[in-house]
Parts: sequence; structure tokens; C-alpha cells
Amino acid sequence: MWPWRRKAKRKTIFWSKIYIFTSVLHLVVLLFLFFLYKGDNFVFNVTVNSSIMSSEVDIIYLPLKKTVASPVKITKKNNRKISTPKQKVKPKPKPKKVTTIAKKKPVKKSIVKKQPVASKKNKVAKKVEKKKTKVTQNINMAKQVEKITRKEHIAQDKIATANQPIYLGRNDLEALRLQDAIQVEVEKCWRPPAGFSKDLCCVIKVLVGWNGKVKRVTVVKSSGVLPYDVSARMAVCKLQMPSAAKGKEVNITFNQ
Amino acid sequence: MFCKKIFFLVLLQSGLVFGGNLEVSVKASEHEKINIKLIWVGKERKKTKELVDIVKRDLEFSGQFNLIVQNKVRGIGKKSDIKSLSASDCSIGIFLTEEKKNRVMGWRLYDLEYACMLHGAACKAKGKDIYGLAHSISDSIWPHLTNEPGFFSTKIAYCKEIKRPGKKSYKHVYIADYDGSNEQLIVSTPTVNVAPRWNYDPENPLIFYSEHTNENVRLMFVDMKKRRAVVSNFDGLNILSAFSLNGKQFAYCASRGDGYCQIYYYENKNLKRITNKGNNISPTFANNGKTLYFCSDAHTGRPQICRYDLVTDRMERVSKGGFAVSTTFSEKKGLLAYAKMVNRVMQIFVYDPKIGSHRQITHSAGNKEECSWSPCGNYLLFAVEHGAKSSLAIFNFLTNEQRDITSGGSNCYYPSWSPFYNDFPSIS
Repeated sequence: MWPWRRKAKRKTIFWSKIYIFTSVLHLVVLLFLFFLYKGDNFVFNVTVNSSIMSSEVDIIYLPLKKTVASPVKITKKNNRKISTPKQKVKPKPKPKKVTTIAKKKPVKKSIVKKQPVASKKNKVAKKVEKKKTKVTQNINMAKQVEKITRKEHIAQDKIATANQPIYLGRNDLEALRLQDAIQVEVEKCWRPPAGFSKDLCCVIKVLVGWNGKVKRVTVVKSSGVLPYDVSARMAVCKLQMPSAAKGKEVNITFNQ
Repeated sequence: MFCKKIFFLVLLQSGLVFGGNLEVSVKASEHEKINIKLIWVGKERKKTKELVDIVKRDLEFSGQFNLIVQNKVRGIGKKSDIKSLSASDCSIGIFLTEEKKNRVMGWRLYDLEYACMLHGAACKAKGKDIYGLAHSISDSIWPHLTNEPGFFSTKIAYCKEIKRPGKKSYKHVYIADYDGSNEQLIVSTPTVNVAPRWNYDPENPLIFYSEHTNENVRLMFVDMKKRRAVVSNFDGLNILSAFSLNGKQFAYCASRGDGYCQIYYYENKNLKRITNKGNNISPTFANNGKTLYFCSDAHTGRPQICRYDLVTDRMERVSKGGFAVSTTFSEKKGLLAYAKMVNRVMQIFVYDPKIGSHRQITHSAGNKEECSWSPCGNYLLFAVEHGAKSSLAIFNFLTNEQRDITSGGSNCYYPSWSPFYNDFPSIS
């Protein structure tokens, strides 16, 4: 027996055992998190459309939500569905003139039925012809009106979707700010040579260190033009990343 | 150590609150030349220095790259040696090495930062001089740098005025490298020689030009051995020949003594006149020989750009109004360049047949005429008048810059850029 244990009381031994047990448990959990667990379930890719910042559409910030699905694309690896704010969808008003056609159509049938009447054949026939022509004219007009109204509805729908306000959650707003900050920083450093095709696109994956400097650079997608890729790579190495990007992996797409 | 790890863990946890991969898209707002190191491996000699200078000039011509020349006496070396050559503003290196075979040079394109060889080849010299070898190396490197074919082995032909005190001046035909260097005299007959044009036979480069005689202006051709022959010797003018890309179709202007210049078209041993009214000059083939563009004053009395469909024999006007001359078509870019008068100054315009739009390219002072496309379609060569003098200039479509390629002391006219030939066209 250890001398301190001999002296110690039963109560203190009991509490010290609990203390050692919990600390070992903590250590095991920490080691698991630190070495084995990669945190895949929490990591999600955020694709931010930079045109949002310059567009004139209203941005609505939802502080109680982390992310909102549209128009900021977010794909979570744990396949959890992201709730979207419900929007009231107004029922489309039916074109009035279309209903009138429906009423007129049976008339055509009735006219056809009246044809076999024997007396006053010529007069009736003329009347029928007149009515027929009127009806066909009406039908054609109505069809045209229907087409126009349909087109108008499609156009209205498009306008409605274009003018829809953008909903942003906490993470979306943070991502948007980060995207803007990185863009400003990259534009300072990156000057590719002139004269290359405007379709060139190079994607570079960057691991940002805790000091804000770029730790690791990998060319994910090459543009196919060596000087273009190299200019992008060199620009990335000069970057001082914003504090929000520290410790993160950032995919930067370089467009002409 | 443990505290550090716990601290890192806390930071990691805080990062996971908003963690993840962020995708950012950026666009370039400014452009800058990219630095490339040109490293000559071996002992520096006069010839090799000249060769390295030509390669440097070639690769810098487009205005996209800035070459830093360096000499390395001991071979390419280890990875660490290569890495030591990279700098924060330079990560591409081109090593030039002398091969064991005579007139063969090797080049290796390196990513200096990772000491990784990307491409490499051995180049055989085209032609007999050092220019041929240097341009051959540049042509070989260029596609790996820009994804475009090299054009450094192409030549330009032009006329130069030779003044004789107290007597009439002559015009001789010269050829030079694409940038105006390495000038060589090819036609030195004691007369006025004008409008040289290259043929499109990759095996046999020929220059067609017009020679003033006492009777007429006849169409001649000259090969690289300075051997000359008559092509067309009708009365009056026989000028401005043009070839299709396949080299089988040929068009030129002839007046046949009636005072009006008409376009003649030659194919399958048949020569036919395709215009009847007014003066028609400067034919140029487009759409792989299916269309012919030229200038005609038949419609308005002033020269206009016209298009002639060789399949349907239909003619239509392309430009409306103004004074437009000297057409030249780029098959590579599908654009027609011509000179048009704007505020009493001839400026270069480009017409896009696909969308039917005309765009003014040059705006500076001095009449610009007789334009000719480079085979890559990125440069336009033309003559610029500065007072009584005329020089040759190139407009770079990559950087939208214009620069003179001949010295101001000489009078140069009628430039024409050659197509790609299998061998480097040099006078033997």
C-alpha cells in the first residue's frame, strides 16, 4: 500500500477514483476527436454565387436559421434536409375568355343537329353557315387569346422568380462576407497575362493556416494553359486570407 | 503540449460551428506579363548567346511574357538546384541544352517551384542560319505555353524604296522574319516592284509580285533561290494575286489594256473573269475557297468591299459608304480586315461576316494601308505613312497595341505575311 493511501480516508479515495476515471474518460474522448474523428458529419460545402452581392434583389437575413437552400447552394454531407421558408403561392387566375369558349362549343353541336329539319331548307342552311363561320371565328379568337394569356403568365412567373428576395441564414451571410473578402484579396494579387481565351477557368484548392496564410495549394482543375495556372497559383501564395477563412479549405475559381 | 492540443481542439470545435469548404469565384481586373526564366545550360559562346537572344525575342513578342535569361554551366542538376531557381514572381523555367547531333537543340519546360518537368523536345534547325534553329525552338515551345501554334518560322515580304540621287527611285522586294529582323533582298531588278504575295504550297514557298516594265505591269513570281518567272503578261495591269488555303485556287487583277481592272479567277486550268463593271482589286479568299472578297467601285464610284460567292456566282456589297480598300481575310479567326477612310485618314477596320459587324481597330494618325493577317490570326501587319515616309507596323490583337517593326529611315510598302511552310523560307 502506498503511504498516502494508508493515511487517506475512505471518502477521499472514493472521490479521487471518480476524478481519475472522469479525466481518463475525457482524455479518451479528446484523443478520439483529435486523431480519429474527422468531423465529416458537420462539414458542408457552401457554394456562394457572387452575383448576389451585386444584384439589386432584396436580401432577407434570417438570424434564427443557419442556412437557407436558395439561392445560395448548400450541400450537406450528412444529407439532412434544409428547411426553406414557405412562400404563399397565389392561385393562377383562369383566363375569362377561355370559359366563354367552353360555353359556345355546345352551340356547334346543336347547330349540327338542327340541320336535318326539312322545311325552309335554303334559309336554314344559310343561317347555319353564318353561325358556323361565327363560331369558328370565335374559337380561333379565343385560342389566340388563350395563347397570349398563357405566355403572359409564363413571363409573369419568370419576373416573379427573378424579383424574389434572397433569404440568408447565419452561415450563408458569413459565407457571403467571406467570399467577398477573399475576392477583394485575390483581385489585389492576381494579374494573369493578357490575350488568353476568356473561357479559361482554373480551380485551386487552398488550405488556410491559423495565421491567415496559405498552407497548402493544389490545382484541382487546370485551365490547360500553364502560365495561367501558374499566375493563379502564385497569386494564391501571396494571399493574406480574412480571419473567417482561417483553418478552412477554400476552392477558388479563377475566371478571365 | 497538452494545453496546445486542447486549445487547437477548442478552435476546431469553433470552426465546426461554421466549418467546411468554401467555393469562391474571382475574375481578373488587370493583366500583367508573367516572368519566365530562360536558362542556357552549358558554356556561353557568341553563337549560343545570339540564339538565346532570338528565342527570348520570340517568346516576348506577344506581350504576354517577360523572359529572364540565365546561364547555367553545370547541367540541369538535382531537384534542389532547380527549386533554387524559382522565385516568388517566377515559377516557369525553360532549359535550353545543346544536343550531341549537329544543329539540334533540346529544350525542357519546368515548373521550378515543384522541380517538375512538364514538356521537353529536341529541335532540328529549319533553314541554314541560326534564325531557323532559334525560331524552330520557339515554335516548339509556344504551343505548350499558350495552346496555340507557333508562328515564329513565318516570314514577311515587302517592298522597299531605294532612292538614287538625281534619278528615279526603284522598289525592291525584301523578305524578313515576322518581327522585321533578319532582312534579306530577294528581288533587286532595276525597276519598280510592287505588291508581293506568298503562295500556299507548304513545300515550295514562292512570292508573287508585280514588276513595272515599259509596256505593262506584269505578274511575276520568285522562289527562295531568286529564280524568277512571268505569271501573267497581259496589257495594262497584272497585280495583287491571292491564293486559297489549299493553294489550288488563284485570283488576281488584270486590266487587259481597257483601263478597268477586273478580277480573274483560276481553278482547274480554267481562267475566268468574275467581274465586269468598274475597277475591282485586292481579291482575298475566304471560307476555304468558297467566297472571294475584293474592293469594287462599280456600285458607287468609290471603292467598296464586295463578296463573291464562287459556288452560286452571286455578288453582294459588304460595306456601305466611305472609301474602303485592301481586303485580307484570316481563315483562322474568320475575320476580314480592310482599310477605310475616317476623317481623311485611312484606318484599319475588321469585319466579322458571322454577325455582319464592322469594328475600327486603329485610331492613331497616319494612313494605314495594305494589311495582312498573321497565320495565327492574332496580329495584323500593315504599312503606316508618317509624312513622306512609310514604315511597317503590327497590331497585336492580344494586347491591343500597335508597334512599328521597321526603322523610320526606310520606306517600306505592301507588306504580306507568309503562311506556315514546312521549311523556314530563307534565301539560298
